[in-house]
Amino acid sequence: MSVRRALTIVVLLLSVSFPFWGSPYFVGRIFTPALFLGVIALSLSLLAGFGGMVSLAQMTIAGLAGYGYGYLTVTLGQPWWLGILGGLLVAALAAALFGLIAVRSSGIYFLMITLALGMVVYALANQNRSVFGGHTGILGIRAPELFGQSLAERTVFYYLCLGVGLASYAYVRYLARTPFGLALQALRDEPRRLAALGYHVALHRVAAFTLAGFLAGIGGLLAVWYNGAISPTTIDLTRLINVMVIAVIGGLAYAEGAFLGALVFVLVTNFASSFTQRFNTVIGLVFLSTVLLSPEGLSGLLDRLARAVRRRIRPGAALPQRFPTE
Amino acid sequence: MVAVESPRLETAARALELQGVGRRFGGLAAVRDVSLALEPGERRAIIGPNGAGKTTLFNLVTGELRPTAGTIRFFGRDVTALPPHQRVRLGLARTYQTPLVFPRLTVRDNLYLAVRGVRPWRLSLRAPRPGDPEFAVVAELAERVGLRHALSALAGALSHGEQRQLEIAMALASRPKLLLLDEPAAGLSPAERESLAALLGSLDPTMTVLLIEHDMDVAFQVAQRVTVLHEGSVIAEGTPEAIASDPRVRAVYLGGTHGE
Ligand SMILES: Nc1ncnc2c1ncn2[C@@H]1O[C@H](COP(=O)(O)OP(=O)(O)O)[C@@H](O)[C@H]1O
Ligand SMILES: [Mg+2]
Repeated sequence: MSVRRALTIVVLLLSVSFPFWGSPYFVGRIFTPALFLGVIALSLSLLAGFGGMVSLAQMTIAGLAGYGYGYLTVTLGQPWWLGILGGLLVAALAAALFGLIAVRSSGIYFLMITLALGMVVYALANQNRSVFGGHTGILGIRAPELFGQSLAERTVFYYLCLGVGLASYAYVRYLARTPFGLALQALRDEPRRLAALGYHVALHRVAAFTLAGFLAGIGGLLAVWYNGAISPTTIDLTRLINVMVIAVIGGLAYAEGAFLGALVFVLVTNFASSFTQRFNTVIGLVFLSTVLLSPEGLSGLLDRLARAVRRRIRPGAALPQRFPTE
Repeated sequence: MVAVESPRLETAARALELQGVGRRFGGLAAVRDVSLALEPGERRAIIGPNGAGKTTLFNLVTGELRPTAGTIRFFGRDVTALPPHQRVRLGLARTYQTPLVFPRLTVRDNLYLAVRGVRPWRLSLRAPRPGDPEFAVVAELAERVGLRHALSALAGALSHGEQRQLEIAMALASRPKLLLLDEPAAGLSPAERESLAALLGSLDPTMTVLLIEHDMDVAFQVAQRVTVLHEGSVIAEGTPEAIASDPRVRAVYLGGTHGE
């Protein structure tokens, strides 16, 4: 059994049994937000790690799903399922549009364009009252109720987030092996070559951006159910950057990194804020030390540790068969 | 110089036809007024000193660069404005002067993407299964270029020569009607050159091949006709023997000291 598989089983057992032995505070206030933030950050890992597209707009897209859900269910009084469909549709469409605007650029320009798009939506949300509710946003947003049970109840909501988190994680790992995912990794490294094999590179980038937007939208729905409200602050510059910080701390190229980074992020913001006002400084320091000490993030660090352990146990074991991303 | 003037009606039979093709980079005319016609199944070599515009000409044919003048026809169809991926789907494949493979994917996945590239559902969201017919094609291609043993290796870990072979296999994966090879023998060991020559010799005789070769010996071994490019222009075209004894070619290309 590989170190990785053993670790997976341990993490699974711990996370599933967590509400039975973990404190309500940790279940509800630490792990639950870590899971939905992880899903949003995962949408960035997917884009950046596989597709080489570092987007700063993932929180904007997640927020738009939240706005869509809030507008439909609260402002228009529609049922929750319509809110979910509408929210995800808005996220996917916004992502497709952002993708169309941004795909022709790359690297730092891609980053700046997605940032600019995020700021445009932020300004729009602040100014528009009829749909976005202006500065106040939309209040009184409720999670769906199933069989008379609100999904927002702490333990139920934890399991919902855990289920969605695990499914998203499994899906992204699956995606890496599909023609879609392979072509995405291929265009990250040699877009010219991919075009010379018959692939429409720009279209594929837009498709990937849309898919990632859908994923971010799922995370955005969980977030809005958790918060019960949405306002422009949810998608301000700091929140946009937080997604990047989370993904980088965890390790951009690792699907699990999104969740690991989110957990560290939530822990630091919660505990640092109890003894200092400057938790942004603390997060900044964690971010910097990650980038300096382990550019591949915490997942990269763990990966190297696991390999070291394996070499100890079985010297001369074959080279690791990790998924070939850096 | 051979003028390529032919009635419009006959062009449908040509595998590739360039008419007055030019490309400028700012003030530099990298390719100027090139006219060229390849019959289906023809093996043509383009030679010329460094910077003559050979690679630029390839980029114009594949669509990676748009010409600033002229038209390009592929089996009679005007493809001048067609983007690269659509030309590939019509049956045009290439290799690059510096091998271009996906370094962080395995040889198998490199070939798999190449096989999928010209098929519908190339962006399927379903993971392939080991029994899928594409993998039989992948194995066959790998076998053909001697990379069967390396299917699970990362393409970035292959030697230069192996990457070349992989690239050729990727180009063949689309079953092209026209194959463009940009200096396929460059950087290969003598043994690798031999297997390359054998591979090129084993290609489907109906496949049209256009290859750039710096090395006249290799070019003359594969090609029936040779086109000489110099400073962006075609200065000679003919059989290898005629080219080898052409005084202008000797002057500009073979480094002959006396011109005319
Ligand atoms: N993308 C480009 N931008 C500007 N100049 C270029 C570009 N590509 C090629 N050139 C120039 O065009 C000329 C022909 O280059 P190239 O086609 O690569 O020659 P060859 O393949 O025959 O050695 C060279 O002078 C080269 O510097
Ligand atoms: Mg060249």
